[in-house]
Amino acid sequence: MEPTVKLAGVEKRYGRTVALAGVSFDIAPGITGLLGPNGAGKTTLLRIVATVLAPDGGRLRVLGRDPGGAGERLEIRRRLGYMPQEPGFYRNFTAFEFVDYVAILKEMTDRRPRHAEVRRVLELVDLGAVMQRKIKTLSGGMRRRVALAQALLGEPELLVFDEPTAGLDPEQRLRFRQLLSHLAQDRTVVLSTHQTEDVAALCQRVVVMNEGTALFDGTVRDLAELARDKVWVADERAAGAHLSWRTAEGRHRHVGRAPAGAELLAPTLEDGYLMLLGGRAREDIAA
Amino acid sequence: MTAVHSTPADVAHPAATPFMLRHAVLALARTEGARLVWHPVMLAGAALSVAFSLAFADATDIGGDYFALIGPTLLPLGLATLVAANLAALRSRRGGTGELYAAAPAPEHARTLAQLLALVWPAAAAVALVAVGFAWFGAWDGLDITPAGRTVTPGVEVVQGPLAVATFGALGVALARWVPHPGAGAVAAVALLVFQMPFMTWNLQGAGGWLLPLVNPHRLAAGVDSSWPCATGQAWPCIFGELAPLGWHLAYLAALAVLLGAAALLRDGRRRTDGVICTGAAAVVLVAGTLQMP
Repeated sequence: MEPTVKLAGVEKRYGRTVALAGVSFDIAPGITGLLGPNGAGKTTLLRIVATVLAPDGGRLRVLGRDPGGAGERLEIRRRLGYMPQEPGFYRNFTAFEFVDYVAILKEMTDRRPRHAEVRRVLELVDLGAVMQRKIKTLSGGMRRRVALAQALLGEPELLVFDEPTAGLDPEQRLRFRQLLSHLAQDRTVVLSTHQTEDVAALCQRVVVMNEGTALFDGTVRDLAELARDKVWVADERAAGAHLSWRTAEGRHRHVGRAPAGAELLAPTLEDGYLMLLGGRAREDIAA
Repeated sequence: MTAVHSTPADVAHPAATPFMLRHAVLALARTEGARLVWHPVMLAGAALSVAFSLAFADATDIGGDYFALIGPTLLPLGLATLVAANLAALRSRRGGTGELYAAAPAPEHARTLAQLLALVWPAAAAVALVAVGFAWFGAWDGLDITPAGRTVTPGVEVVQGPLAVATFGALGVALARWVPHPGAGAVAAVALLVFQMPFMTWNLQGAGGWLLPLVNPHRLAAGVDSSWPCATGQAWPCIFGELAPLGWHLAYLAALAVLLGAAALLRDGRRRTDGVICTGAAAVVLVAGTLQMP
């Protein structure tokens, strides 16, 4: 079976800056998470998958089609739901009006069923009660959910989310996970996030990017395993650790080369990410 | 995010057909049009136009009823359409929705086309105002427009007002595409107001006035023989018939609207059809714009 998205040596440059330096991996049905520090190329990659940007090099197939051709690109867009990192809104529109506007752009032209679909997606993201409020009166988290709702219009086969949980409160994040895990049962979801807990909780696959390349492509468990025997706790701070912090119990948790006889802990996805990216990840997490 | 088992409205997204984009443009035009006519600037413009019509209607000694019906009193509505259409066309830029919309099947070109088609709404509002004016002034059987009691039925020239409103709107959309600055529409509206007013009043003549959307054929009869009554202060006999008719001006105005619309569409990506329409409209503007001058 052909993967939903197939990237082979995809490149993208902005002037002299290399955003993607030959990225190759496949995205299959289920949830794939993109992790990486700021500037790693995650957003550029998602924009290319969402057909917003054209790659400068390499080969790309989305939903079995080549987005380089206008006709095939249109077919991809008809089956795509995209939530950009900064979606932008019409502040004087109500949530309903805005999603309705996007629905028309998605070629849902019959008014009555379109309105039913708009109500459905707004209720899916828990905005049913405020759908007639103007967007400028909604909180940041609510606006984020409006952006999420528009991406769900028409049950797209491929959902592309860039930082979907940024700005959501903890309860909404958990609800988002519930919604996403339901949606991913019969479609492909690809998301980028800085929230490693979201990736650990949701994603069947994780791709770690850094400096325009895919450093890691595997399961969450595989990523965590990279830090096997490299996470330990001690009563004092260890000088050789990549990163260490004082836990709520008053002990020091370390990630790095464990000394002999150290009290090892089971690694998490975050630990594996840290080991993979080294100093860059430390800066990222510290930031 | 609770109702995860809701059922999608399948019929909302039918199978793709070649006409889907066209239908989307029409649906978008309806939405844009409805928003346009209810825009506060438009409501203010319409109210001012009504007030102007009523004010001129009382000026029976200058044939104010005819003046109202042929369009000049629709100037506030036209300028409001320019500003509101410009704001609507800049909405995506203001809202930062470019990236979101870039992934939608309907391209920017379709949105621009919808914003142009939406101008049918304010033009229809202008037609309604003219129609109400016909009833108000009892113009169906002719207008008694002269001190001597001359009766004239307004003809094709009543199209000028609604056409000018659409042209002003097309200018607003074109400006948004080529000069995407939030103040550009307002500056253009003020500039047009400054140029239009002297040529529409009763005391300034000049062939250049014919290049503006709204003209008063009486005032712009440049080159009139000095022995003609209008040149000697007896205005009324020279308003109709004797002077340049509005026919060429209406052709000029329609072509100008199409030219501005095609120019707006060209900004979204060079297409052969838009280029051909643009060239054709520019030719008509040139020819009709020249021939309309007395």
